[in-house]
Amino acid sequence: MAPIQPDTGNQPDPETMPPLPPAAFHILLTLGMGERHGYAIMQEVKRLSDGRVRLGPGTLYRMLKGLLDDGLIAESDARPDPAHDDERRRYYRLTDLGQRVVRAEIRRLARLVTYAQAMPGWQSGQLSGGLPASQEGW
Amino acid sequence: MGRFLRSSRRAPAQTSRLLRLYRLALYLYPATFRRAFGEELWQTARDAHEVALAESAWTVALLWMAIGADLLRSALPERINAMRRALLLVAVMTCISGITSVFASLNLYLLEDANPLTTAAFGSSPLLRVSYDAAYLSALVAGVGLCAIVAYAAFGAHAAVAWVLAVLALLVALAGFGGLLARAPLSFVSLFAAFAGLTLLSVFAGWRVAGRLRRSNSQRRSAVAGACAGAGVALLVNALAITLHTLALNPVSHPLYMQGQIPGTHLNALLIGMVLDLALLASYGACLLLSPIAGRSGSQQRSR
Repeated sequence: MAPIQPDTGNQPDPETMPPLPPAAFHILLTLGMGERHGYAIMQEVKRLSDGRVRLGPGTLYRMLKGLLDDGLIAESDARPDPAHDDERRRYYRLTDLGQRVVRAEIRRLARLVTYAQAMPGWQSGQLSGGLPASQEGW
Repeated sequence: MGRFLRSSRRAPAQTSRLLRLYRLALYLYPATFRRAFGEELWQTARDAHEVALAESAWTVALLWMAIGADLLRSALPERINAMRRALLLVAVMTCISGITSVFASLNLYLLEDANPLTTAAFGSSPLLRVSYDAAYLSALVAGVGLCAIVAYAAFGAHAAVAWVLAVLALLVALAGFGGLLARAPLSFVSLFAAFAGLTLLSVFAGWRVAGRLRRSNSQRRSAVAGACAGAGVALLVNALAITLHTLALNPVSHPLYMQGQIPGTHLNALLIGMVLDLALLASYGACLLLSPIAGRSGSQQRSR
């Protein structure tokens, strides 16, 4: 697998890009684990989300197109061995900007969870029994 | 991963049929998207199909139902996004139709306002009077709408532009029928109320469209599209009024025309205005399908 090279040029501030849509975040997380082609991304996203996020081919490639346009991912130069895989497949990798955006999103989600857990009635120990009484109407 | 390639090389007949159908269905995507990702979409569907095929026929059926739903869900927004230039088409059509309608309505006004037979004709058919006033007022509102399109395209969505347009609308109303204020105050009030009502309706339509578009477009683009929608509302009222008026007037038999008091209506601006207004209707229909009103790409969603 080709190492991820830092991208150069004028890039947007990663801190301003979150929140990411769940599907985009899952795709970026998946590519953070290594280069993958479309079907492998679909499978990995499904596994990563315990089947909660299922991407069809059309939705997947629309998302990939958007992430490519934004410079968060790039097409990998490496091609699979034709003996083991279809050489026409395109593999995608996370760019340096994509890595920084994922980190920013993780920090944002962590802050949110910390904040939520600090709220009365929302501590993790109390969540297993259902919603607090005051929230049951949701 | 090699499993998928080997499977595809010995694909059974039903696999080929479904995948051939899917390859055809990929034409639902715009050409640019299809060229960039069509082969990969097909490969991905093929991979998923091969895995499902190894499980059961039921899994295959469920898979293709999901792929079909996904195709429809993703192809339409992608096609809409690919046709962003439709906004230019709509803006141009609105301007052409608006200019012609304003011209046609003013022509109608010049032909009929000073004619001695007009009063008698209007007296015999209230529809003539109402459609005449509606055509005139909607042309005035559409004129302000056209100014809004140009102003927003030139200066962007600034509050100052909105204020200038409001003042312009007031001036247009006063110039259009302000003379009645002294001669027939009640007529002025009723005409002004109708003018204000239609203006507010146009503004509301434009505001709604611009608000919807602002989620995925620039402020200027949204404002221009909103102005197109606002002008479009006035132009549609104008088209309806001119059509009603022309039908009620019945140029073949109505005394106004039979007596040669008014030049024949064949191919005059009134009829050209009607045709172009109908073309505007068609362009708005196309806009619903082609404009960026409903589309948000993944990147646009992400970059909210």
